[in-house]
Amino acid sequence: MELNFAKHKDIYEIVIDGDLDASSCIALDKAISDAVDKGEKKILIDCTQLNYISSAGLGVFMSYLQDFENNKIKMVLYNLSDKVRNVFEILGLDTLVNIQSSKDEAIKTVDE
Amino acid sequence: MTLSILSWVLLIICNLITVQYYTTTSTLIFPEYLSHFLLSLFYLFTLLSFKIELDNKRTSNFTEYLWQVFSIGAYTILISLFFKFFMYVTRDTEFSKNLYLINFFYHLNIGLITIFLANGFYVWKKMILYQKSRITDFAWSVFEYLVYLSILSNFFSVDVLTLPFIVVSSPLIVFGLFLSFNLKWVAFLNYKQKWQCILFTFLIIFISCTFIQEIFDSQSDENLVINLADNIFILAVFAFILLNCFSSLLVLFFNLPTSSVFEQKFGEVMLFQKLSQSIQIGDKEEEVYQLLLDSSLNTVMADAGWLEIIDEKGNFKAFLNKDIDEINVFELKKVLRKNQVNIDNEPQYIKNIKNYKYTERLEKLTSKSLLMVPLSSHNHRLGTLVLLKNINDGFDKEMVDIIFTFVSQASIAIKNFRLISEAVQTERYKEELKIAQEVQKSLLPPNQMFNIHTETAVFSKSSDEVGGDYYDLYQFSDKRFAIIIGDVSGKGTSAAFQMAQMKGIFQSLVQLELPTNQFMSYANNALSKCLDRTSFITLALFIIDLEHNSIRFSRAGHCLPLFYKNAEKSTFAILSKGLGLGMTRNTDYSSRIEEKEITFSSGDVLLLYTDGIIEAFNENHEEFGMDRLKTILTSHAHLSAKQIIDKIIEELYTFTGTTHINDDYSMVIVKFM
Repeated sequence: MELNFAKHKDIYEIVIDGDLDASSCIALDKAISDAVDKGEKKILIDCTQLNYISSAGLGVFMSYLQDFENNKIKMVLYNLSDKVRNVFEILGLDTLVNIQSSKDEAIKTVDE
Repeated sequence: MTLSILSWVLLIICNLITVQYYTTTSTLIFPEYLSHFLLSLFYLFTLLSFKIELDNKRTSNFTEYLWQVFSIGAYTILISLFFKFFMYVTRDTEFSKNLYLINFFYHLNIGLITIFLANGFYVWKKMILYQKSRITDFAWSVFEYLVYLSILSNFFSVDVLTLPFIVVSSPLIVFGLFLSFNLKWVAFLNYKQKWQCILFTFLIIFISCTFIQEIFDSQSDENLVINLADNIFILAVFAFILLNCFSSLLVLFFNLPTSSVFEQKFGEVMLFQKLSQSIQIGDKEEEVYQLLLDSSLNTVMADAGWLEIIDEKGNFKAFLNKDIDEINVFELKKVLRKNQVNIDNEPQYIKNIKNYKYTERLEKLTSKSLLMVPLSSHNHRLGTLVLLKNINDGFDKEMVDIIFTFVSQASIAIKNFRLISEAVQTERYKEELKIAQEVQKSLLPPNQMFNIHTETAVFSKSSDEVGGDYYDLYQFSDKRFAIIIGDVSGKGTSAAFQMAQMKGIFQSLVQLELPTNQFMSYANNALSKCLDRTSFITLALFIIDLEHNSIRFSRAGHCLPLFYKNAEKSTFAILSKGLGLGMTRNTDYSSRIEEKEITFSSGDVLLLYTDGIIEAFNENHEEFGMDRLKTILTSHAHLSAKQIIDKIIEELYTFTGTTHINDDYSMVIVKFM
C-alpha cells in the first residue's frame, strides 16, 4: 500500500493506494496522527484505489472517532468501492464515519 | 593350582624314593622319565594356573604388575634363603649330610623358582601385549607355545652351549628378543610411576640373579636327582624376564626427561575433553567459565587473569577474576582503551604493558605481558579472556595456540548452552500455547446438540493455536434458548483473550433475559472499558422460541446471518441495523442497534458464520463470498445440520485449494424440525 498527500487551502487529503491490512494500516495510522498533530481540521481520505480493508484497517478509522469529535476535526472518506463500502455497512461503521460518494460531496461536507 | 601342588608333592615323593633305593641298591626303582614327567607336569600346571589368574586381571596400572612380580619374587627368595641359611647353620651336623633333606630343599627351590618364573612370565605378557597389534599378538602366541614345548626338554639331558641346545633355544631367543621391545606401557606412566618401576625392575633383576646363582651353585652337587641348570624351559624364562627387565630399564631411563612434557600434553587433552563434555546435562554455563579460566591459567602458567562474558544482547553477564583485583582490571582496561587497543574483537598480545603510555596508575601491578583472546561464535561476541604474566614477553607461540584452542572450545560450549536454553524456552512457549488452545476449546460448547425440535451443529478452526472466533449457547428452558456468534478483530493470542472475555459477558448478561438489542448495549458498555482503541467485536445474538416458532435477534456489526426458508426453497440474508461492539464509547449505542423478529417453520435452517468463511480466497484472489454460501445452503438444506456443515467446509476447501485458511473461521447451524 502507498499513501499520497495533498493539501488544498485548509483541506488535507490522504490518498490510499492498495490494500489496508494489519501491516499497512500502521502507515495510515501514522499519517492521520501526523495530520492531527499539524492541526489539520479537515481531512479527506481518497479511497478510490482501496481494494481491501481488514478489521485492523477499520480499527484505524475507528480509533480516531472520539478524538475528532472532541477536537472538532472532520474526516470524510470518499469514492469507496462497493466491496469496501459493504464492509463499512455490515459493521455499522458507516453510521459513525462520514462516507461520501464523490470528492465534491466530500469537500462540501467538510466545508459545512 | 591344586594340580600343580599335587604334581610337586608326587615329584618329591618319587625322587626321594629314588634316592632311597639308589643309595641302597644302586638301581632305579622308577624309570627315569617318571620323574621328568612329574616335573614337566608341575611346570605346566603352574604356568597354566598363573595364566588363568592373570588373564582375568584387568588393570592398566603397571606399577602394580611390577609390584606383584617383585613381591612374589621377594617371598620366594626369602623362603629359599631361609633354608639356605638353615643349611649353612647346620653344615657340620648330620642334617647337612642328609640326602633326603638336601633333595627336599632343592625341590622346594624348584617350586619357588617355578612360581616366580610363571608369575613373571605372565605379568610381562600383560605389559607386552598392552595396546597390542596383530603381529605382537601372533609373536606372543608362538613364543608361548615354544616355552611350553621347552618344558619337554626335561626328558633329554642337553648340555648348555652345545649345538642341540642352541638349535632348540634359538627360536625362543628370536621371539623373546622381538617381544621384549614392545614397551608401549612405559609411555603411560607418569614421572613418579617411572621411578617406582625402575626400582621394582632393579629388585626383580636382583632376585632373578640370586635364583640363577643358586641353580648354578647346586649344579655340581652330586647328591641331587634333578639338575635345573640344563633345563631349557627354566633358562629360557629366566632369560626372557631378565631381557625384559633390562630393556624396560633402558626405556624407563630414557623416558624420564620427556615424561613431564608428555604429562603436560596429556593434561591438555584431558582438559579439552572436559571442556567439550561440560555441555552435558548437569553442568552449568557458569562452570564452563570457571573451567576455561582455571585451565587457561594452569596450562600456560599465567600469574593472573580474568574472564568477561556478555549475553546475547551484548549486556554484561559474568566476570571472573583470579589473582588480580577488579580495580586493577578496571585500570588496565582504561589504559588499553586510551592506547586504542581493541580487546573485544581480535586477539591481542602485549609483551610489556609498562612500555605503554598512561600506565601511571598501574605502578603497583606486577603483571607485564598480557594475552587477550575474545570469545566468539558465528561472529557473535561472547566475551573476552585476558591472561597476565609477571615476566616480560611471557607467552610463546605454543601457549597462544593452546589458549586459542581452549577459547574456541569453550565458545562452542557456551553457545551450545545458550542454544539449548533457547530451545527449551521455545518448547515451553509451545506447551503454553497448547494449554491455551485446550483452555479455549473448553470455552466453546460441544460440537453437536440435539433437541426434539432443532438440530444444532458447529464448526470452528483457528489459523493460529488460539483464535478470536466465538460462539455459544444458552438454554433458558426446553422451549427457549439463545445462540450467539462473534468475531474479535485481529487474531491470535490477543484475540483469544478478548474472546474469553466475551464468553464471560455473554454468560452473565444472557441470564437477565434482556431483549437482544439491550443485551448488545450492555455488552458494548462492558467491552468499551476493556477493548483497546483499534479493536472491536462483532456479534449476532438469537433467541429462539420453539413454542411460538419465533426468532428474535440483533446483529452488532457481524456478517449477515443466512436463513433458508423451506417453503420457498431459497436462502436469504437477514438484514438488521447494528454497529459493532467497542466502536463507540458514547452512551448512544442503543440507538445504533435494533432487534428484529422472524418466524420459522419445519425444515428451515439458520446459518451463522464468521467472516473467515466468506473472505477466504482462492489463488486468483477471488473471495468465497456470501452468494456461494447461500447456494450451497439452498442445495443441501435437506441434509442434517452436521452434514450441511461438512458440505460447506468441503466446498470451501475445494474452492481455496487448501485446508490452511489464513483466518479464524467458524459456523453455527440450526435446523428446525
